[in-house]
Amino acid sequence: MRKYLSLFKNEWMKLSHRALLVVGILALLAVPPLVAISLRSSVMYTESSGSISQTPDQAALQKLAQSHLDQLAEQQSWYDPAAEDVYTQLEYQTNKLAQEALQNLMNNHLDLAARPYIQDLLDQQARLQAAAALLANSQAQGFTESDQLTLLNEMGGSQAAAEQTLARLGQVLADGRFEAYRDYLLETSDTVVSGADYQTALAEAWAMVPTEDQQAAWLYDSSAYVNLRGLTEQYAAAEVSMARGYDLLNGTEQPLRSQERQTFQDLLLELRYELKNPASSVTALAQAAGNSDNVAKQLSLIILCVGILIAAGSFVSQEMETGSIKSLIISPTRRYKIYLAKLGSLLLIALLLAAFSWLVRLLSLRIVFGSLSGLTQVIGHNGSLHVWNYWQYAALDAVLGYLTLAVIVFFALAISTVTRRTAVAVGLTLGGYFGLMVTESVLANYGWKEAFRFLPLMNLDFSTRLLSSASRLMTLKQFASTPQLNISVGFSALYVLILAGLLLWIGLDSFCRRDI
Amino acid sequence: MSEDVLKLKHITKQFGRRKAVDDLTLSVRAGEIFGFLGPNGAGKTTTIKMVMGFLFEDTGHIEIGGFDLRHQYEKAMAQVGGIVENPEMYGQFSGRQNLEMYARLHGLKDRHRIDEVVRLVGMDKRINEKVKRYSLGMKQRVGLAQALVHRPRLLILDEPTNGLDPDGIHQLRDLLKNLAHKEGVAVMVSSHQLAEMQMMCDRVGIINQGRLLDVRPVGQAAAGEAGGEAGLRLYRIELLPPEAARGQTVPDAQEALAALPEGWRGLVHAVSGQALEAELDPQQLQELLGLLLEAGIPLSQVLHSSRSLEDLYFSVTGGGQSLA
Repeated sequence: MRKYLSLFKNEWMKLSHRALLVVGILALLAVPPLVAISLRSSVMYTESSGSISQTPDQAALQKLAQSHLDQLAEQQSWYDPAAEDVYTQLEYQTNKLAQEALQNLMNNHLDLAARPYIQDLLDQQARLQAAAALLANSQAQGFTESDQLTLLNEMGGSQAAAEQTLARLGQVLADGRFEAYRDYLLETSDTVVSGADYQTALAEAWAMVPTEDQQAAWLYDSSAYVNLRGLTEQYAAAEVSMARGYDLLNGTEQPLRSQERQTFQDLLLELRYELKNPASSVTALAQAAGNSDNVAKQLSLIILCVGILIAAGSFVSQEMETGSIKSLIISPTRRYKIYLAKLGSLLLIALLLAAFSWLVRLLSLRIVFGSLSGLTQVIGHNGSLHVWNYWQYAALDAVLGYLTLAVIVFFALAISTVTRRTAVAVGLTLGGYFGLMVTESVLANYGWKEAFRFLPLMNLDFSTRLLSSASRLMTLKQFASTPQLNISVGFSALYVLILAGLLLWIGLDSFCRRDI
Repeated sequence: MSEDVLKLKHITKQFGRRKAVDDLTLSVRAGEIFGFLGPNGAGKTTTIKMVMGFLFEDTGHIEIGGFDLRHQYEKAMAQVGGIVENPEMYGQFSGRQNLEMYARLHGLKDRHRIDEVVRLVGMDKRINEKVKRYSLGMKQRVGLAQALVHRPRLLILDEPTNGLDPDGIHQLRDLLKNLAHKEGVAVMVSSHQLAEMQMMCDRVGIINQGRLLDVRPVGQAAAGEAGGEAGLRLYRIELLPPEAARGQTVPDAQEALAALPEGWRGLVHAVSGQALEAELDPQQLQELLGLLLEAGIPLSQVLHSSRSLEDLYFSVTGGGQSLA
């Protein structure tokens, strides 16, 4: 162990004397505050120009949300006991068609999902109109009351029920709700390409099914996506819609797969929390702070990756090129210990840099934006609701960033050992790193190839996901589980372990068995 | 009989189809300076690199201080210090930091030992400067300090006089002799400087095309390959050169040879215009000098011939032909 410590101390000295490291640390130190100040200035500018309101009227938002809940209660009145039989039949049809539409959504076949639904309703309306006509005809032909009642029963309800149902259907068709739904689906079908987008679209689509077309129209308004008030309203609408949608699905013959059901439940948990805790909703300032941290995180990670890649890629080859490796080889130390000491010191410095980067980011946010309470992360997972402080969330992020760095260290050190040429090793590793990022990004934008987004290396690269258009909550959910693709974090971790083991073996074998 | 600190037994190393070292067997004893001679590409550095752990032997067996290099690597390497080719250190660190790093690998915590070796190699004034600012000679000195810091039983130096000034070479020679003869360190030196090797080494081994051709004590080597008889040494007698005769005519080597009695002419031969060589014991040398002076042959100086090792070297390796 003492030998390891001595080796480790030597390797640490060599690493810490690198000018590149100093430059990297300075860059890490400079990036987060610069980004934070820049985005904070942007918020101040828009505030002063009056285009956004920094402080939302929480009471008004609560009221608005409540009105959506009231609408839900009003919709319960559809269930007229007098028309139960007919309505049950209609409800069954509705459920079935809604289920089909939802299934279509899940399969990403979003186009015209609502058409059979509308067609069926039209058929139903025609049948009821025919029934009413038949009833009128029977009266005109002098049928007895008993015969008329028998006929009505055969039609599935009383005259009053039939009339009520007819009226309701007429209203449904008249207010254009389903047309709006259909239009929305058509509009979004081109943009729904990723799992995250799909889930977002699903939530939004459901937000429109049972509500009024004014609400649907309001949701189309692009300002809803950037306006704070709109966002909260959307949550409220989604809360109502999800609850109804979920109940609807619960009653079907083909229930959702358990994982999908869990996803819905988790999302509902998050939405309910945010609805009941308006303070936790994203404010303009907190949004700027979140964006700032995202950008700072991306830049910091790239600096870290490139820095550690160059350090690891030259750590063995440079010693070979300059001949300084001789003083290590001539020492009474087996070669594998030398290699492990080099690897260990690189992993440690990567860990320290990741922690340093995390600390600088948090400090920058705290100093430039003040309190971080607005950035609280709400995460529903497996039926439990987790409310995380931002520093905890950022720490998870730093750990994931570190795993990426660790893989790079294993890779670059092995390449450096095998090639024994710094330029080749650094070039190959840089090429591999950026090549993988670009390939992943390009392929992930093509339908089924979305699986490439979850390439194991990138699956643990949390930041890559945050680059997508998905919301933070969805992104974190994807991290926790990827039900669409059945690639779990456990699988990725196993893959990374095997990959690291393989790279370690390649590096060790080359270092220990080849002549110098 | 001194203990063998380094033992090489039937070592073979092949690079592709070329055998760099072929069935080499030799040993270096405690308290001796062993010179390792051979032309470029003969296999000297390859052999040294195998001993120092840079290369792996294809066949054979290396033992250092009684430990098998393959199976008791760390114990064996703890006995070795040395420089291969050039002394390579970390340029971004000072000489002292380099020594500290190396000492740490040997589990050495005694800082006085570092000061001691720094003084020994005459680097105490500049040891705190960064190595990248050192000249080759200074690097050699620090490299030597590094090789000695852990008190090795076997010291291996590949071309140690490279870059050293004459003063440095002289100091190195004294230092190595001191280490070997007083402290009992086994020293193995590889060099092309035959004169230097002759002055420094107790024993030499000559290698060519990977095969060890000859190993003999330097005194014996100096006696020439045909000699080896007790007391005989090769002397070079230089006559007064014409330019030093202030206009007077001076005899050349052939004339001097002709002036000697007939019995001497088989022993003495002319090697150049103004020099004679002969394998003689001290008594014979005195007689020869008396005869030359009596014949009025002015002499310039008498040397132990530095070419005797060279002769042995060329005769063993088959070299020495003109490059032209």
